[in-house]
Amino acid sequence: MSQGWLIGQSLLNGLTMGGIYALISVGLTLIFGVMKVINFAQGEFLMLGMYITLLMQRMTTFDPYYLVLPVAAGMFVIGMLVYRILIKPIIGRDGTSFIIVTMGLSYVMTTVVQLIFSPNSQSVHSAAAEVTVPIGSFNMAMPRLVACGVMLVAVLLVYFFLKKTDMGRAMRATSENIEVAQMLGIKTNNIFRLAFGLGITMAGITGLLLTPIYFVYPTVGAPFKTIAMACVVLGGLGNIGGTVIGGLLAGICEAFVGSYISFDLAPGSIYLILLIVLLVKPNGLFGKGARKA
Amino acid sequence: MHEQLTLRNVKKSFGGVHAVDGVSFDVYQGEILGLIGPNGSGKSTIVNLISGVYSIDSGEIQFEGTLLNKLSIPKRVHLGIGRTFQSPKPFTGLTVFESVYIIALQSLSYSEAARKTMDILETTDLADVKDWRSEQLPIERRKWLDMARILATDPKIIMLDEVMAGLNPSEIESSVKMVRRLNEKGITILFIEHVMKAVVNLCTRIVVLNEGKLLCSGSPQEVMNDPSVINAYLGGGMKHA
Amino acid sequence: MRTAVKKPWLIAAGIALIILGAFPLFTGSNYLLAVGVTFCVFATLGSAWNLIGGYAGQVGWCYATFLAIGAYTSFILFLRFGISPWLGMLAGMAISALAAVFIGSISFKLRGPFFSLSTIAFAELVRVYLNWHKDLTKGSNGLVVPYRQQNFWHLMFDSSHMYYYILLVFLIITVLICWRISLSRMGYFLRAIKADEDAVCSLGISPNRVKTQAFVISAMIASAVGTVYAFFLSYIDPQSMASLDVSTKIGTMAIVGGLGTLSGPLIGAAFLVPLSEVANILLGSSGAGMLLYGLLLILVFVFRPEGIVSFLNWKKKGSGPIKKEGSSVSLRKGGNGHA
Repeated sequence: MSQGWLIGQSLLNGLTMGGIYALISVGLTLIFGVMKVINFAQGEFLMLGMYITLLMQRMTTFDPYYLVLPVAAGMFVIGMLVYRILIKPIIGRDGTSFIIVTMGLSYVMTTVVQLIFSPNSQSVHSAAAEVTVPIGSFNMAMPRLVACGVMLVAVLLVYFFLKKTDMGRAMRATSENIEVAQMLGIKTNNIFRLAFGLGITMAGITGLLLTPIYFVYPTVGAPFKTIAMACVVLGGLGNIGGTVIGGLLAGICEAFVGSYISFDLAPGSIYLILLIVLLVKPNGLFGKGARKA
Repeated sequence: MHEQLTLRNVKKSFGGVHAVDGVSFDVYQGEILGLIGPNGSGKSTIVNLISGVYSIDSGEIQFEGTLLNKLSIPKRVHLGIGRTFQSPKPFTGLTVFESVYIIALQSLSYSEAARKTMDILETTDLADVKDWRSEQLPIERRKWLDMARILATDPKIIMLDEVMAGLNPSEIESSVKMVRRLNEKGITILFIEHVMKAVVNLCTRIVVLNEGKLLCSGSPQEVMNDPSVINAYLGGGMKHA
Repeated sequence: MRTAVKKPWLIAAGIALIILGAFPLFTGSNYLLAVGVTFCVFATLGSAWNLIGGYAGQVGWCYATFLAIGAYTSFILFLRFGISPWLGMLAGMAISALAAVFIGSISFKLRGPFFSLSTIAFAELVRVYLNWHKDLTKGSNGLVVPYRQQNFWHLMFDSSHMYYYILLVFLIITVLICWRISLSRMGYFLRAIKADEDAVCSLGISPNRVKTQAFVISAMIASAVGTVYAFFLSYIDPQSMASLDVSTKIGTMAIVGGLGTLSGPLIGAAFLVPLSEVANILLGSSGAGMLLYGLLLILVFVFRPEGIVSFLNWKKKGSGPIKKEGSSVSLRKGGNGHA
């Protein structure tokens, strides 16, 4: 194993893991961009996506990848419901209220899932799980490549949606200035609901894509949540392109710290970078405007 | 009268837009100077530059011989520069008395601060509502509460950012009286305003801004008859003059 | 304005003190005493958190960090050098104070959710460090202080009674500190910062300095409690001391009880600590307590942001009558109508 090989392999590992971080972070940034609030239960929605995949896979015995549409639809409905019940009553309050409510939601979700499914790890079988793809002299696990590919497709879809559809334009207008949007006749409540639903769906799809790689257990989402928040801030809040780069950066950092310093220290590198960025560039790497809530 | 506040070639731009583009003027000790101009002419930016909310790109701002450019907002307040905001910022949850009291507490003991607070509430006609929660006040009195809080910092100059906006004629009348009363105590007033009537009645001198630049300055009569001012205001805020 | 404490509160405080002081005398159950210890710990931590999170409205999630600093510093000093935990406590408080200054210097520049996020980043960084530096902390295996013999100087006691009383004293001292602060300059400044930070700044008060002062005080309290709590548990690991769950629990005490009130964190802890024990027994899982925290956070914040304490107010605060003229405010809010 030469030094060059280790660098290359770390880079590849980092990029693919970064793709997964990017996908969940884009969901978070979509919610933030439109509603200007941070969803502290994003990681738990990822966990929920994993469990829904697990359940559907047990019932149908299909490979998880074939379940992407029903899981996405299910997560979208759940997102809308959560919006209707919990989020709508606190619209208009400060960002901290939103954090507290979604934080509460994250604990409820974790413990309810734990009570139903037990805290034990379970695995979802996928034919792709054992396949590795040789890229030059490097090896890449198939599920990670698929996850990266799905991330790219999803980001392009969101981008297309925001730029080319009426709904997307309305969403961007709401994101720019909610009062003006309301004056233009945009039903901002519907836009909020849609953005929240889509953000949750992204988390759910990320969960599905993780099932061939990760064990499924109730607290699996917790680290993803904090990492996703870091990526969103890194990328400049509400900036989808920036968030993707933030996610990839987080993945690469983690991979290099993991292979060169210590695996235990790997998640710390992301928080360290986040703090350094907040210190020197409080609006994130690609952010603009004042960081005030 | 000597210069108390001087601006020399002050520039500030936001993302390529020159909000304030090389403005110079003086404010003399004890005067009421009106700073007027159409929307987006840079009036509020100048207030924010003097009070320290924004840092200036180039140029100099001096207050009584002290260069302000790098000083923090609280330090400028301690030098004697006070300001109000366009929309009042009451301390939600604190009473009218407490709102002023905490500012007085910065430099005084508890009992001295309480005495000073009552004095200030008398001058600003807020004594009768001292136990109200500050967010319960009607808008006019919220603006006075903002002023009362500033008075507690012992300011030498107060910048009033559109204090008349949103008030009805009788409220404007009483606000004008209030500003006069403050001025008679020796406090310099920098009066940023859209309501021309108040400006003409109150100010000893007027500085007109347009598109970030100084348009002209002089006595109210001179300024009002200046063709360039009429031009800049065409169809604008002149209807109150 | 220094107002006297209202009489009903004084009576309630007296009764609470008698109950808290006498309760261990009537029970020999170590389990109940442990619940009492947990109550004291979280009521104290919640009160400390409330200084910044409640009075000043700066909702941070890094108090487990200070708890962990207090716990780890005293454990490591005791295990390695045999230094008394009372001295270790002072060392931990000093480190926590420095950490608070450092965290504050970065985080207090940020507002609202970004302040919350940056504190989480700090807390997670400390947790990751504790997991990694195995030479010092034994990583996720945790540290154990083996019991030797009863010794006040070593914070070791045969029964839980002493821990309970020490922590009760800590709680009382903390409440008194918070009470003093709430009536002092700092208390007023903190409340004004919660209302409008820009306005505070424009009136000559440096918000970051006030916030940092309060943050340091509350960090030191949390750290001191961490030391005693750790010796009571005699076992610490990063998960039980430094995780986001613990930080959330601490904040929840104040949020559920009533933000920015003296009694809020106490009521919150008196309510949550026993109830989560009951939940754990009923649902038969140690995680079930978190369900309760989560549910209450949601319910309180969606339906009753003032917390439980708002049910108990004898007299509404700031009873200013809204005169008729107040109703015309909304009509003229446009402001620039003259333009």
